[in-house]
Amino acid sequence: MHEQSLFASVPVHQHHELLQQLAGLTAMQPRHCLERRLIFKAFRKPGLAGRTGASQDLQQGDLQRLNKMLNGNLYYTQVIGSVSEQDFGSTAQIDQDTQMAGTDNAERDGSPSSSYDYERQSWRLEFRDIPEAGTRSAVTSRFMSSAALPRGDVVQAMNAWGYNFVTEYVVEGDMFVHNGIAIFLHRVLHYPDGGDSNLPRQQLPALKDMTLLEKSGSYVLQAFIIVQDGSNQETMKTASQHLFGLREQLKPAVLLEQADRLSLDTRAK
Amino acid sequence: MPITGVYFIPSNPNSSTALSTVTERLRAAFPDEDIAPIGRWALEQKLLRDTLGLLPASSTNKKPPNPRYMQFLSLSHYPTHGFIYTSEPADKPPAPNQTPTGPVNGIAPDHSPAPPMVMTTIPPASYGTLFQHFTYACQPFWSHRFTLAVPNGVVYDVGDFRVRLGDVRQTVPTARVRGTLVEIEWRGPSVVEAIPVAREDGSFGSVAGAGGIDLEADSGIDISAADIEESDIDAEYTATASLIREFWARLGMEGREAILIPGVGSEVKERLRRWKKAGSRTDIGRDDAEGEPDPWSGADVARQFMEVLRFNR
Amino acid sequence: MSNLNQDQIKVLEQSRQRLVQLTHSLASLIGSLNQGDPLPPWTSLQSQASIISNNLTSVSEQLSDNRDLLSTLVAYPGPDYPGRTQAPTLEQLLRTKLDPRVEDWVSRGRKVGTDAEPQPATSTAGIAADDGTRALSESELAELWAWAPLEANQEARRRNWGGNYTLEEREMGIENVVTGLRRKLEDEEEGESEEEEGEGDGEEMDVVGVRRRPGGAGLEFDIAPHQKHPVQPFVPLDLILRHMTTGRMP
Repeated sequence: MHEQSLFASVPVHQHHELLQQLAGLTAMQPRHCLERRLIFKAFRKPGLAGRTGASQDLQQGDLQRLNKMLNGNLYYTQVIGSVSEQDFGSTAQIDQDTQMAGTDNAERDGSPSSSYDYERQSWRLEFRDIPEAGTRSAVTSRFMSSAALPRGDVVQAMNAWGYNFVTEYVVEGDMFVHNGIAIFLHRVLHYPDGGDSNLPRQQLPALKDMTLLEKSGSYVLQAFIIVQDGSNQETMKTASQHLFGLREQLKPAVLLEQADRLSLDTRAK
Repeated sequence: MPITGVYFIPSNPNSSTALSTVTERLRAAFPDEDIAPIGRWALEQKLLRDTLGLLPASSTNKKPPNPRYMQFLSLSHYPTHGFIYTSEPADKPPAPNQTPTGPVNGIAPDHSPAPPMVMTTIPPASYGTLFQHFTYACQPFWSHRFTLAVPNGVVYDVGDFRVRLGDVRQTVPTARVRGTLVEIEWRGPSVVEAIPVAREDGSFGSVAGAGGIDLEADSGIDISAADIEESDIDAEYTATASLIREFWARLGMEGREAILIPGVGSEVKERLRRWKKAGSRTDIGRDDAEGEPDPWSGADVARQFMEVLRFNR
Repeated sequence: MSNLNQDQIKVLEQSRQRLVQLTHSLASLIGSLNQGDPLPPWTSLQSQASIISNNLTSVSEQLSDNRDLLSTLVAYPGPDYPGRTQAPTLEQLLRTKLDPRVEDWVSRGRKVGTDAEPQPATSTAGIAADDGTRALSESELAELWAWAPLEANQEARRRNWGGNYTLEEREMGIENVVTGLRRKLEDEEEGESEEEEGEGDGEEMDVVGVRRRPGGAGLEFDIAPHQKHPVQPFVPLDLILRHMTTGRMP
């Protein structure tokens, strides 16, 4: 899969107006989103180099192929989980025995209780390659994949697969869809207690205690199309033309541009 | 999640497999049973190895680290999810919360030298995507070694057992026959089957009144959460394993066995833990007991299959 | 007739370079006026204007410094001049009189120049002059400068600032107002009057702020519809994207 995108920085004073403009343009109400984003980084084992020797059962060609693989790129990747506003501000895990004792008809039909259950959190692995270099079209185009993961703790599996947890943050924003283009107006929130935890947190603080990464409160506007078959030049071209069309429509309000390629560099060095 | 055992009978590339022999022995050993196919089944496994471990050891005589594996398995009898089974990293960072999928297990006390494996189940749509991800973005770690398949296995019911038979073919990198798989599943009464599966929201749909449960007809056991301890589960697994071994012995075949391997039963214990935790919620209605399928079902048999199919070359 | 020496050629070359600079800066101003949509911000226009002004000054200095040389130079085509293909340029170069359009510019410039010279204070001070185009005298200018700020301030105090239209314009009907803008200005005054809000509400609209709604559900925006103090982001987009990709703090 390929993702083609355009980006813009939106100052906070323009946010409200832009939301309304986007709602008008797309003829839909914004879908509010909150996401936990966990950043993982592939770790390279130390002492890789210099492991060459007489091949026992390996053909010379295999050896070369393996060496090439060993020197291949490793990447940052994200594990993203949707959360809701009710998930925030949960106090320490409420003991179900005490909470549920007695009659609690309000809870019986599966309505979400106020406490956030990390063990029930759903996740998906989102991978983005570094944007392609030297493309003629002025959109950010990158290879991507997205896969659902099991609920609950993902760290053990991610560790086994070769990834270490780096940090996490929350993205809040609003999503629109227009002409097959997803339009995501969002910004990054940080946890109030900093990001030095080496594991994803099991509880979420109150939403109002979250701090802004960008202190002025500005937003990032990302307009993107996901192309199933990135090798199909025709669909890729159509997708970027759709994006250009949107850029023209939004020009009076905001200027959508290709992102700086290195700012989206997912390669782990 | 039924208790199972898996046997693998390797064969030489040029000779025929043991499949017909096993079928014959089955008929001979259980003359009173009607040994007729009741269905088909299929399996696919993709095996990846740590790229570094594939290089020949250097001349510096350094002890090569344990090989690490990542195995992707899909089973037609658990169509709602695929399985990924991965060796834990040797130099893994401290992971204090190792509860849900951890290999901590009292069933199988044997400690194999290989690093413990981490079981993950994933939706079918993620199966191919994740495999592609690892072969694209993790080349320095993971190298796809081969793909094995049981394209058209046969299912028999033999008394309280269900037997799945099939020939294992390697499809990647070169096509060849690897041997025959036999899965033996205990379908008699079982405490393990009696533990309800948590629903989407973490509640337990099949809990009936007053902490008791009314099981589906064939399990025939009426228990409550308070009655079962983890040791009961261990005992159940051990007892059932001996039944399965007995069944296998009647066939008189030589094969690689995987029954009480590390990790087997851990999902069942986790289920019990959750059930006990939610145990005092007794007033759950029964009308919508059909929740989403348990994402961990089949993890035991998947472990067993991957244990016997973890070939080095 | 003598050939030019090195110094004289250098003077010509310098003049050419200064003229090229001037043409470039003029072209860039024209370009940004023609193509910029919306118009470039006034800061950019002002800086372009001051560049042009600097260029003009240096051209002017160059021309007057070398007046003696330049006024005695005569241009003629050399034998190797490509007369066939470059005839129009040749004609321009060989003109002894100015182009008629240029003639007009020059005469207008001269007139402005002479008019600006201080006039003898013959006529009595007064803004009303015979033809209405007479420039003000020094004392009149000083008087105007002393009067204008106070008057402007008083005028300003009479008005309720903060809207897009003046009271007069609104009475006239805002659809008749020529704003020169493409986007449509909203007349938010109407909405306010329905809510019967006080006159002073305009100031509070200026407050820029985002706060959590009580209860933590979403955000409230206290932002004037037409910002007077826009807050630009401190962290550039690429650093935000990098943080989102790798977790590296900007």
